[in-house]
Amino acid sequence: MTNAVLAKGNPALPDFNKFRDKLSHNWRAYLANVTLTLPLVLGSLIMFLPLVWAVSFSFGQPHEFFKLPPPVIPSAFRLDNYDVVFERVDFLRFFLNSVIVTTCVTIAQLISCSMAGYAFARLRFPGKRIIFIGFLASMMVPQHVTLIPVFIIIRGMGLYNNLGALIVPYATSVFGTFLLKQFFETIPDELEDAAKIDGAGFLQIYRRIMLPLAGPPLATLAILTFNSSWNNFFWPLIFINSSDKMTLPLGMLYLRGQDGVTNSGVLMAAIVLNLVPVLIFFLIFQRRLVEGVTLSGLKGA
Amino acid sequence: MAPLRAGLRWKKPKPLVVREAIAGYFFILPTLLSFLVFFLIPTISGLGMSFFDWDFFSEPEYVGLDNFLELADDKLFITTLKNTALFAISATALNVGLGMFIAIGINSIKWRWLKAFLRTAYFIPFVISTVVVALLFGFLLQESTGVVNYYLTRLGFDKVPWLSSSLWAFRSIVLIDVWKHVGFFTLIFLAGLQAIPRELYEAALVDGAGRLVRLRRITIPLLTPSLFFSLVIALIGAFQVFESMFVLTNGGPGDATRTVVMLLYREAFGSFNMGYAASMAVVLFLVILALTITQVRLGDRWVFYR
Repeated sequence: MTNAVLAKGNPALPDFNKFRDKLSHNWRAYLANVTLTLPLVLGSLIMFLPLVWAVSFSFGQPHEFFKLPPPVIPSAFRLDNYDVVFERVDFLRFFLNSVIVTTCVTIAQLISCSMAGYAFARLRFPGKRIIFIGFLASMMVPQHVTLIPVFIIIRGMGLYNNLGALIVPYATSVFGTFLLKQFFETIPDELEDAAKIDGAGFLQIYRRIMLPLAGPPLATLAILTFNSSWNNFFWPLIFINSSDKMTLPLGMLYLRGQDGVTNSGVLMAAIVLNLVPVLIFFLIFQRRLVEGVTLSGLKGA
Repeated sequence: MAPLRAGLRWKKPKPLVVREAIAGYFFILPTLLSFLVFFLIPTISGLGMSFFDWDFFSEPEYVGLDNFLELADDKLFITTLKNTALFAISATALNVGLGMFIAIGINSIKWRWLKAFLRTAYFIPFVISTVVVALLFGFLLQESTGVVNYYLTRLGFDKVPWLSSSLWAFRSIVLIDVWKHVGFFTLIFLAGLQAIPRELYEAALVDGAGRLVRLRRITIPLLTPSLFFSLVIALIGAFQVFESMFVLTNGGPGDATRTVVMLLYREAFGSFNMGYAASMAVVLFLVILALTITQVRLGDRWVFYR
């Protein structure tokens, strides 16, 4: 069986596969494959099991939690727990707030990062280097150093307990600027020069030449930003204090504080309601997300 | 330097140069404003605040280094600093170590579908919010009625006090962190593995090098840049850990899982000791900075740059 699979091999590497073919006759190599693959597969089960349990318990009834063995597949698909979630808290409001905040942050970052990235990559202006170094240095300072002053500034702007508090400070990103700068630097000068000769201004070059080319890095940035904004918890914890302004992560904590919710099927139902959009998002954008993480990893390496 | 000098030729103002500079400032304006308002000014005033005693409502009072001296005597702060350091070291070691070996394992699998499946499986927890992860594990790891303990007893083990004993609560937090983040590091190492030239392995095969030799002589040395990067960002992230403890144990039992950021949060927004909290942030920053600089210094010795 192994040979059949290997025979297909990777067309790009014929020589290498010949060697592998020879090796696979060797039982030791085969054993090594199994001992390597088996723990990896078992490990991946550990990744999935908690999620499976969340789903199965979300359909369960309170008495089932004390039944042994705990059912991996629920005895019946009851939606009672889901009803209770919507009864106890305005779950849709949390969801909507999360959508609003995340969408605004993502769009704002796409605009601000591509603008700044373009300027740092293609334009010359005094102080460019020192400003850019300052930006990079800011990535190394933990946000807790700025926490209290930012809290005061946000209050001063009248954004306390307002969704704006979760949007305005995140409207720009040094990481995103860096990502786009790196990309814009790879665009050949000829494209820009041709446009300049045609009398295009910098704004036009940015809009008509740079932006249309920047699809892939913008998509990567959008997905990374979306993910981190959607999961942001610390900021809402500090700036939001009424339940109608909460986003999902803080709303989950609020729900847990309600009577009879702690560690119950209701909490699991809410967790599943959280997981479904995230997993759909993940499955759709998996390739880009993986690319983004890889890219940011390679940048540093 | 070249672009800077070109931009500075103000004496003979060429219209294009000036226009370019204006355009440059225009394009970076949003990011620059945000940098000033939400980073530079707050950082400077945050550093300044650590020299004051301030309860948010009355006038701040200058106290010099008193906050820092007080921190050095604050047993709770020392405990949280120890907790944070221990968490950071164990979580970093496990995340990066496991991530590296999972990546090497996945990379050596021949079936493409299995490769893709495993990569997805390990990465999924990364996209789930920490709050949801913590709530979920809080449910699964309950001592008497939790699912995990049920299966452990079925396998003949004793029930584990996952969240109720100090030692285990700490371990649980580390394990949950690994569950959530190991896939991220796996991806970084997978990217590093892709960058290793195939020819090296072919040459090694011709020379008759076995699996372990290839791993030790080719894969691991060429992965050191990824390893270095992972160690640096893992440690920086782990020192700022807050959410999982805040949701799952609230620092308990006792103060066994209380971290610096948790204490900082409580001091600032619970007790309104703003200056004191700011001084904690400064210490945390200095610790992270010192560790990062050390890592970069040491990195020159063991990281293999091509």
